[in-house]
This record gives sequence, C-alpha cells and structure tokens, in this order.
Amino acid sequence: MSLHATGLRLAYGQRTIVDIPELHLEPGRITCLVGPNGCGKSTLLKALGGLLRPARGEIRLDARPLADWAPKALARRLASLPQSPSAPDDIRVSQLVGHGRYPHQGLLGGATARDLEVVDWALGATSIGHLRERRFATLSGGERQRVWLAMTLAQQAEILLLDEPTTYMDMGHQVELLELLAELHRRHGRTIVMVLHDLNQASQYADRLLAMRDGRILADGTPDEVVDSALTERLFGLPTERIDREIGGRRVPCCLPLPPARPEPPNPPAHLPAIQRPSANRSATRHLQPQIRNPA
Amino acid sequence: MSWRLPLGWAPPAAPSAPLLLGLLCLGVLTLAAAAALSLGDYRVPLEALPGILWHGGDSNAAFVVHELRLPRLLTGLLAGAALGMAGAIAQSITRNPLGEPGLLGVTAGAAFAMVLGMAFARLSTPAMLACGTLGGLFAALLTFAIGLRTRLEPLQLTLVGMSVNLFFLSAITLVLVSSQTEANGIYYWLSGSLANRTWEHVGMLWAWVLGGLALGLACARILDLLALDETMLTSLGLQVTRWRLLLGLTAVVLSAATVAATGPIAFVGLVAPHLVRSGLTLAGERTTHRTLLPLSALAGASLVCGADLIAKWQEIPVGILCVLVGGPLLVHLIRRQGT
Repeated sequence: MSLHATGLRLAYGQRTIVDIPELHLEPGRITCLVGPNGCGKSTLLKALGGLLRPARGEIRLDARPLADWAPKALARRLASLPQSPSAPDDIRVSQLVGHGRYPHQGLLGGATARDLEVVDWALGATSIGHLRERRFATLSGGERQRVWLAMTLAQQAEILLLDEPTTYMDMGHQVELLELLAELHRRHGRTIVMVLHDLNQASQYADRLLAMRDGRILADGTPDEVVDSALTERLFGLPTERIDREIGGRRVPCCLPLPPARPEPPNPPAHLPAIQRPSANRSATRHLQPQIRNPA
Repeated sequence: MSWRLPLGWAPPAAPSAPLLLGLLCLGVLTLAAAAALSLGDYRVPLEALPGILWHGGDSNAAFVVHELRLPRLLTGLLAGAALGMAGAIAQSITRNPLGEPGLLGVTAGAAFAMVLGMAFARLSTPAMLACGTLGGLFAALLTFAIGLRTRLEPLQLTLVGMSVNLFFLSAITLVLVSSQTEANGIYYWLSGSLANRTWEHVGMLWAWVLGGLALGLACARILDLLALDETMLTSLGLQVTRWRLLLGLTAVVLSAATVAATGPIAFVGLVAPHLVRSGLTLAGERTTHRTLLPLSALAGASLVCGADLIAKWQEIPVGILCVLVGGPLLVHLIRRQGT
C-alpha cells in the first residue's frame, strides 16, 4: 500500500503548477508539505487524493492508477480534507460527520449500527462529542475544523490527506489536533500527508518533510536532515536560527526568525522639515500613567 | 383499589414533527377530497360517497363522482404531489431557495409544445398530452446538455435553465401573436387549470408521477450530501455530476407530464417545500431530504386539492389560486420564523 507518482505535472489550464519527476509516499508515516504560499503544495495534495487529474504522468495507489479506481473504493482507502470546505447552515454536527460514512454505505441502506459506532468514535477522537446536536452554522472556526476532521476520520481510510488541518485553531487546539494525528499514526498505523504552514510544527510531527517552492520539491528528508536556516532562506527568503530540542528521544529542529539586516534609511530630502519627536515633552504624558498606591 | 400500569408500559413518546406535519397534510387532503367529490351543482351526500366509490352503480351520483369529479381530484392530487417533490429536488440541486421545476426549463418547454399544438394542429387529448410531455423533456434535456459543460454546477445550471425558460416563454408569445387562433383558451390553459380533466389525464400522469416519486425517495440521501462542496464530495467517492443529472432528471420526469396535464401551476413547486421546511424548523426538527421529499409531495397535493376546491366554485384557474392561497401562508410562516 503506497502512493507513487511518476512524471507528474499538474496544471490549471495552460499554467503548470507542479512538476515532480518522482515521488513515493511510504505507508505508515507522517509526511508534511511545507513551502511558501502558492508553491503548489495544496495542488499536489489534491492530485494525490484523486481530486485533480494530472496534466501529465500518473499517481498510483497499490500500483493501480487513481483514475482506474472505483470512486467509493478509493474513498475507503484514501480520505482528503480540502482547505476550508463549506456546509449548509442548518446541518447538525452528527449528520455532517455521518456523511463521512458514505463510501461504506449502499445506495438505499441507511446508517447501520457500525456507522453510528464509527461516528461516535470520530466525535470522541476530535473531542466534539458535546457538539453533536449543534447546528454547524453556530460553531466557531476551530470547532468547524474539528468537525471536518471528524468527518474525514469517519471515512476510516488508511491514508489521510489533510490541507492545513490546523487553520482557524488556537494554539491549544492546534497541538491537540496534531497529537491526535500522531496518535492515529502510532496506534492505527494511518498514513498521513498534510500541508502545514508552521515549519516548526511540521518538524515536530513529521517523519518526513517535503519542502516545495515554485512547484518543485527543494528538500526531502527527515526534519533533522533538512530544516535549517539555508532552507528557510530558500523557501521564504527568511534567515533563521536553528535550535535543536529533544522531544521523546528525537532531535527536533526548530527555526526562529532572525531580524533581517536592515539597511540604514536614506536621509530625508533637504526641503522636507525634520520630524519633531514628541518624546521631549515628557511631563505631558506623566498624568496618564496609572498611579500605583502602596496598599500598606 | 389503585390503578397500576401494566409492566413495560411507557408513556407514549411525543409524536415527531414530521409525523404530525404528515398527518396534518393527510387531514387537509381527506377533507378537500371529500368536499371535492360531494360539493358542486349536483350534491352528492357525504354518507353516500364510500358506497359509490367502492361499488359504483348506475345512478346519476355515481356518474358525477366517477366520471367528472374523481378524475379531476386525482389529477390534482398527482400533479400537486409531483410538483411539490420536484420543487424540493430543484431547490436542492440548484442550491437556490427560489428553485422550482420551471427553473430547469420544463414548464416553459411543455407549455410551448402545447401552445404549438393548440395553435397549428387539432390533436386528440392523449396526443396533446404526449406533445406537452415531450416538449418539457426536450427543454430540460437542452438545459442539462448545456449545463454538463460546467458539470451541472448549481449556479451555472440555474443560469442556463433560466435562459432556456425565457427562450421558450418568448417563443410562446411569438406563436400567440403570430397565429390566428383564438388565444383565450390558450391563456386559460397557461394559468394552470384542473377543469374538465378526464381519466385520460390520470392514465397518462400516474405512471410518470409514481415512478418519479419512487426515484426521488430512493435518492433522498444523496440530496443531503449534495449540499456539500464538490471537492469534499469527490473525496467521499460521490460522482457529483452523475447524481446531479439523475436527480435533475427525476424532477423533470415528475414535472413534464404534470405540466402537460394541468398547465403550469409551478408555484406549488416553489411553495410546498418551503411550507414543509418552515414547519419543521418551527418544531426545531432537523430537515433531511428523507422527510422533506415525501412531506413536500403531501403538502403540494393538499395545496392543489384545497385550492381547486375554491377554483371549482367560480371556475378560476387553480394555478392562480395556488398563488393566492400559498403565498400568504408562506409569508405568515416566514414572519413567525423571524420572531
């Protein structure tokens, strides 16, 4: 079981977005796609999920081209979560998550006991069990994102393709979600391919990093191998400082931005008056400062 | 001695909102049916109705009920049910709350074919009906054929359907203006009427309508799913375009023959699903298409039969009455939702 792309070219109309000679995604690993906006990582993810037909080349799952798979059979193997999907306002959370069971259901049959069980599990795993009867429209951005993830989990596919799953979430929920994915990976052997914006999160959770720019893969390897200032400069034009952390016996590189070397601002033209700085007039602002009284 | 409840007895659960709504529609329908069969120039006493319906007979009453009133009632029933469900389907696949079968071009297509038939040929009733049905099917297929270029994407489908609709509407006007025929009868038909409907109409309608209703109910779950994004659906393994086409065709099957038989009473298709939705929302019930579709059919049938009762009184076209009755009802429900 693996995804394998060869001679891949992805395009919207005449414009080539992604050009990758060969890419092999091993089963049971977490792979993160990182890169600047518009580098083609979402497009690549779509193609891997069978949502975008390659302009050239092909992607195979189990040595069989994606286009040859029956849609439902493919959906049982491979679940995609696109970026910010939309849902009708009046739908309930449990109903929406239940839609994830579609590839497992016959045309006429309703939800079976097994379906309900899986939906319950997905709601629990994403810790939104308490929201099950809520209308989707009344949820916050982070809650919505977790509902979508629950729906994707309900699909019970072994490969998960997630496009920025942590969007709209606060830091706590981001980590919670990434921990959940790591757990799915550890305990259930799920293969996860995801686009992440935060390079440091990616290097903490990924077994393998694919760094992309202008539709090409610039670096491919474990975070320890590829993450450094040279990478961030090539990807984002941003010099950083690499700091290594030990997490669970693993060396996790972390990049913190360095202040860019700022050139001296040019002298103002002579005919412009010099800007008066208000700092001279200190006494005027003194009364604005809070008076802290000694409680004693 | 004290009362004791038998073991295992539980207080009956409150009946669910869809069930109540269904019963309400059935009640209205039964009342309207009884009134439609019994009232009129020739009064048939209510208590005589069951006997006449079951056993027939040679009496005048039996003739009036069987040959004049029953076909009209059944045509209205079938037409209302078909348009109610077709409206619900059209609203879902075009994602347009103003959707109705006419939005797919069916109504205008069928009307155009009928007008053409009335103006230039003297056709028998079955031939006219077949002509209208074919016209409706043709116009809808035209809409789908153009819409397929954009994979029947809701907005594009709506725009294409509207254009096809308007095209056939202007074609009707063109025929009416240029032909020498007396236009009054055609205008009367164009406002939608159930007057003088015979068993021929029922015979032509029932297969289309029952087939369409069954197909609609079978695919109800897919309509729930189709409210999601296309990418999301593709990732779930749903063949979006194929299902949009199948469901669109279901709405067309339901409405083409209906419009041919009754004229365009399309307002039913618009208002019946909204009445049901408002009712369910007021009761705090979630709306799924498994309940929405059958209830819309029931509501449509009640609306048409109820409106026809008043229409029969003065021989006003029932299509106009549907608007007069359904419009205020909808406005009332919307106002209650707002509070």
